[in-house]
Amino acid sequence: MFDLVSVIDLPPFSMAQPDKDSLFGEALGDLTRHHYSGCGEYRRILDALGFDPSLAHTTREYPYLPVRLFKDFELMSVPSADIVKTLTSSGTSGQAVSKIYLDRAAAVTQTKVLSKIVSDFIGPQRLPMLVIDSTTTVKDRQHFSARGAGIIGFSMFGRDVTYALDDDMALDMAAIEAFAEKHKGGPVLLFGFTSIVFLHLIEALAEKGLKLPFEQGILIHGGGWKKLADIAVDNEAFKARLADITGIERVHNYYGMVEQTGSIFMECGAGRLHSSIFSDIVIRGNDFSECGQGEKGLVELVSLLPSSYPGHVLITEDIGEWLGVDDCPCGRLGKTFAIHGRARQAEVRGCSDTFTS
Amino acid sequence: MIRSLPDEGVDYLVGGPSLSARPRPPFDSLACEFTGALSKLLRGRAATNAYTDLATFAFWCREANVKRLKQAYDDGQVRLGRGLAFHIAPSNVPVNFAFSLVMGLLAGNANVVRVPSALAPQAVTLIDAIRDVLSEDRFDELAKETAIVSYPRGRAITAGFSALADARVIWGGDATVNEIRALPAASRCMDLCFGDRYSLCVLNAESVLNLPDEEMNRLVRNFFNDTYVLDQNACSSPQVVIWTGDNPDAAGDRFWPAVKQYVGGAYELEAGQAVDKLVATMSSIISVNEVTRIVSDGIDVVRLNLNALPAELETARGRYGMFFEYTAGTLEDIVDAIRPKFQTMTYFGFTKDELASFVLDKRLVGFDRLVPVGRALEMDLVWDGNDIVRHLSRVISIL
Repeated sequence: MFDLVSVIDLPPFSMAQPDKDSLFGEALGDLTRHHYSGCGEYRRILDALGFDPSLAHTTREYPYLPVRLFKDFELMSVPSADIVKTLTSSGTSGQAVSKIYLDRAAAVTQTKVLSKIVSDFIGPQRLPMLVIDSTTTVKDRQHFSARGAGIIGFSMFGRDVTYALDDDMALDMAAIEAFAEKHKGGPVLLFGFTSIVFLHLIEALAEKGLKLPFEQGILIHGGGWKKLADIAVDNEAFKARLADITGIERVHNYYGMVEQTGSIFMECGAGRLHSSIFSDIVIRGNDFSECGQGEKGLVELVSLLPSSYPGHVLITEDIGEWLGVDDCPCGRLGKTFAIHGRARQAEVRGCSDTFTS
Repeated sequence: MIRSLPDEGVDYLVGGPSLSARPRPPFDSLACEFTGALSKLLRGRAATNAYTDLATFAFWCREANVKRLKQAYDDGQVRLGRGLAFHIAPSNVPVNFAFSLVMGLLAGNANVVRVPSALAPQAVTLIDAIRDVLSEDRFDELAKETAIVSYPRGRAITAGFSALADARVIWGGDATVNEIRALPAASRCMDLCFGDRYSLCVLNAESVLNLPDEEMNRLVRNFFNDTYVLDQNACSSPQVVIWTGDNPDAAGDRFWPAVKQYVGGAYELEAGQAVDKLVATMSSIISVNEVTRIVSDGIDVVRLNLNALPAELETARGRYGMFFEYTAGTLEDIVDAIRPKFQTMTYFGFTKDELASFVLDKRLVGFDRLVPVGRALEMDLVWDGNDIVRHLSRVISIL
């Protein structure tokens, strides 16, 4: 059986794709057999698809579960008594949320892998950290929202962790000023969700005519551009505005989802999102056939981490394209890609319940 | 008979908040003239031909067809409309509201039709055409008897219309129907409710195998029109294909590749819809125990083989060309699975006599329509087992 321990100490972007392909072929086979025997729903799906998990397959051949399936079903591959933590996606109120069940091993692995990946970008030292969120987001430690899980996960890279927003998501200027005073001129880490960083930090500061002195700062942000797309803010505009208001020029957008917490994809200085030795991506067309380089399609995410739930191969509703393999100017190996937002929500035709629409 | 309708917060797309509700006899000449004029106007507009459903509606309400429909009501009885009919239309069969309106009109009523706030392009075209025809001088009277309204969700306004209605025509899911029925209306108010229904297709294997190629193509096109055209979301779109006869495998081997070939040239899924279809497929594998195997070559045609008909078959729903499939020996074999929710059986390879005796001899609790493959979405004055014109009018006994 493949054991993550065998790769967890390797530098996370050190493996060329051919080696990674053979590693993943074997590792995904083991994971698939594990979920097949542990999760009845997953077994039913594979059986119905006629997929034989005992045979060898390449990464792209493994059946992908739609992420939405984790909203409609409680999928787990270990006894429920072993679950120590449940993650939920941050859906808007009223919407179904994904429920991701972690046993102790899965929870520990997520933390370790996240740390390996992030350290590769910001270095191993713990930096003074300003979280662009409110403490209320992380209150319930047993049931994390994706936002809460992100904050807790990334907080391990920080020291003197300070929350920049109060309970009403307004700037806590006293806290921010004290933090800036203490650490000004030195390296600091800012972390938050993309839209919150932009609206509740950058724009809120601009409104007050304030600026921050974090020329040595690094911002890590993620969670998607949907809210900002509505007000026409893209990655470039975001970076420019950030540099102007906070002084920060080192920015790493990350892409990932609660269904595969830990094995996130980070944007390098060259502006590409990177898969690591723990993850891979496949881009698929509207008929799920594989897309070539530069072709836009649905993003399939592969992770070696999910062990307590069958989330190792997922198809998302995000649209992306792969940019290259083992050839990023930043030197990191593996597949690189870009995300172009979500697939358009289709109009419904038919006579279902619509009075309230 | 002028009625003041709710005004505050209501957008009158056609007509206004003051409505004349004096009844007319069914198939009143002015009403028939109007539907004919609407048909003519629509058929002269380019937008009509761009949408099959719109073209079908325009063709359905043409003068000759309305004349033909009228014949079924020449029964010597004295009838008048009920007065004011209030229609709640579903948003996602875009032309449904217009059928409902015309049926209410042909039954002799003044009509208020509530359409959803987000209108499909077909609905916009239709509403424009209705407004244009009503603005002609000759339809002055009808213009005072017709309103198309839209308003945000909330029961207060619906309650206001309900209180004034002599008949309510409620289209939607079960939840909508129950919600609106619960609102008070006059004790004589007639409710016609069209809630959630379920439909399936029965194919006789030998009949499919014996088809000449050309007719095979027609069968496939008809099957496509019943299912893919509205993404299988219509109540009357088949969700299950049931085979009868001795050679279902051979018949399937002929039928499905032909469907796939036709779909490939006529239908396209966007990325989000493709994922929806995958979600629906996998959800069904998990929750419908009788699913044994997925058969698909590409994603255009996805079949979920059943080893038995589930007790609650109506929960097995497809989308975008996803079909449950079951092999029964004979029609009799499905009798026990039939539920009151079942609306339409599309069929191929059966005679009308055979089906009529099936329905009567087996005393079926479900199915209001048995129609040849290709006619699932055809609207009719008899719907869900109700004669709409007779329900929306009253008989005056003169002894």
